Amino acid sequence: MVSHSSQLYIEKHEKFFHRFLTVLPSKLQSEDANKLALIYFNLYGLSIIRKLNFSDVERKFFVDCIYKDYLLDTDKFTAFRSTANFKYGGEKYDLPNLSSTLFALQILLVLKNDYSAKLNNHKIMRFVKLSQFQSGTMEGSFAPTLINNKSIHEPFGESDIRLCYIAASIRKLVKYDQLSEEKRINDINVNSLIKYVKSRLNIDGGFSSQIKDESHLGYVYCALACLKLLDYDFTKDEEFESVLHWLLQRQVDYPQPLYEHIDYEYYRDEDVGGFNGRENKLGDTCYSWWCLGSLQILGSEYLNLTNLEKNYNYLLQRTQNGLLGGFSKDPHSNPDPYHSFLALASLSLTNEFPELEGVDESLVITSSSKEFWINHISFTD
Amino acid sequence: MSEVQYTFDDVEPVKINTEEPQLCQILYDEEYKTTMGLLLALLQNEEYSDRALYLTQKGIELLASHYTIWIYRYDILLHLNKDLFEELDWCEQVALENEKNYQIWNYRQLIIERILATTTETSRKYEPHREFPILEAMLDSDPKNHHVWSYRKWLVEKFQLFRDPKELEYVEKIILSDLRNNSAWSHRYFLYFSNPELITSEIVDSEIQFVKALIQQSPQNPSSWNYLLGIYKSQKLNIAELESFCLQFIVLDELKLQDEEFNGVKSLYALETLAKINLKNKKYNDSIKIYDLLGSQYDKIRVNYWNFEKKKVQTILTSI
Repeated sequence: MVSHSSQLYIEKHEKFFHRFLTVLPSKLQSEDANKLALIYFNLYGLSIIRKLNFSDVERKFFVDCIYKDYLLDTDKFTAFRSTANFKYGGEKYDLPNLSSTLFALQILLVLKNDYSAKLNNHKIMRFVKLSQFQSGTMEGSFAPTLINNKSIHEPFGESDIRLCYIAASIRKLVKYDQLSEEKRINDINVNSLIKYVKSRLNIDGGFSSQIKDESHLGYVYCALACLKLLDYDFTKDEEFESVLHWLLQRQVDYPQPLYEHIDYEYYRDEDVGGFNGRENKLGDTCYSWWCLGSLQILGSEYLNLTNLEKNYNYLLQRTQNGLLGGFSKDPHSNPDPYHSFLALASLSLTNEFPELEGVDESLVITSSSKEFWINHISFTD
Repeated sequence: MSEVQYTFDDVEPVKINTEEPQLCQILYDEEYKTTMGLLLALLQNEEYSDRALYLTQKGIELLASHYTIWIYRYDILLHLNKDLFEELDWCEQVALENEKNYQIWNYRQLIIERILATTTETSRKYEPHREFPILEAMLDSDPKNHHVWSYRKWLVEKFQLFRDPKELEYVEKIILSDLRNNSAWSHRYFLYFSNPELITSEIVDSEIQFVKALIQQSPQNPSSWNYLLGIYKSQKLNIAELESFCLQFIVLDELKLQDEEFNGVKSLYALETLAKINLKNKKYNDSIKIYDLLGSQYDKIRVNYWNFEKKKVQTILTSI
């Protein structure tokens, strides 16, 4: 056990997540298209702190909300839409969304809803497959949404590793990888996906959204988690030693005397112990998860190569909000569900905080949700 | 932006659900409800008109992250046969007004791709350098804007600007104005080293000289070191060549490296590189000593990692 001198304000966090689950001020209306993400952060935040104590009636209400407002079930495919209001967009403009589809499935899992009884795995995968680019510079990757031209659906929008990860997660959550090859009638092209992701590995050991773009921790996590979900064997590949090196450079420190004459706006002492997402950038709470989650994917023995104690202190003493609950991006910001959820997820990776439920490092669902997924999700042919 | 007043009197707006309880219920303001209600009504009718175009602008201001509004806007442009160059101007205004609106860059790519795919007469009118002022304005206000740099790379690749004098001049200017701008360094690496056909030994040599000079100006800078080591790795050069360069930044009694002027370490990256060089030169004990120093003195936060690296060297040492 490592020592850390602060505590987790579990009750405050519980109130915080509840507050964001009910009514949100109008300044958050610009997040309308990310609402399933918000719901996901709040429900899983409660799940990590073991406070997801809804009655059956409440649970049913939540589940009904997800299916009624977000499920987009057409003749061709099954997916989820990103904003409930756009179900009134008409046939042409009521469009499916890849990340919303993942968030919806994860939400249903934490609510212990057996989506395999309601949804068709082949139709979900038909959507995922339609979102995959089949040729060109984006071959293997995925688009965030589809356009509908006279019932011909084509990928629309930017492709990047984030969407690759999301596609691989959906495939896993509908247990498509557990089917025999001939039964996977709508499978994606896994080889071109792996090739796309691996081509984004840079010379410095990070991954980027496009070839030889700047390495970014968010993309590193998505690349590693995507490969892991596709059962990629990292040990056979020496390149991943450079990834480990890059990841360990993310923990922020400005030791004396090396830094005493350096005055740089991106170097702040208050970031020490936390993680940054790129070289010479500010620390941010969310990167504690993206870095430690990445290390966990490469092997749990690598977590200890960071200074966990300093990370605990950074999160608990500097970005945890003792008054409102939740965690903020940095010591100066207001807490929000995204940073709160990821801070707790990061803290749950070790055994240091037994009050927290564990989180699966690739699917980013809590242990109890994963158990439910293993035991209750079963698609019939 | 548009001064024309459009009338929507004939449109029955879709009523945005605010009565029924729901999860994470947003208390939309009146402007939001009106705009989205009208927009949805027009979407249902697949109306492609000037007033619909106007409304998509308002919709994007309120909800930039929703792809459907962008798709609808694009469809309207094509149906009305709008001047796509005017749309590029529009994109610039939107980008400047809201830096966080990163969807605009993907949309701009779409418009440019469309221009290039139209008649040769129109596509010939497009000149990639027209992008430079807007990109410069965006990077002036946030020199590390990831989306803008990514877009810039797309532009370079699309129009083969890897050796474009203006592009090279620009990235040099940004690096010299902030030696720690990692985005700029990564862009420089992209320009010089992502296209194998354009790499010559002259370029490799001059880039090594360029980055070495800037490392001397600020030795404790990961961005410039990554650039140098990236060249060595990708060009399969021998890092042992860097030994004397590294020693400029390290003066340690422990390593019997002494100098009159200072005693200490000016760069962790020089120290780590020296550990790797020692390993390569089979000076295992010197390599181990450096990892010890990194963990115990100079980079304590990573002590477990430096011990991990040290053990790898020790394993080699005991196996011979």
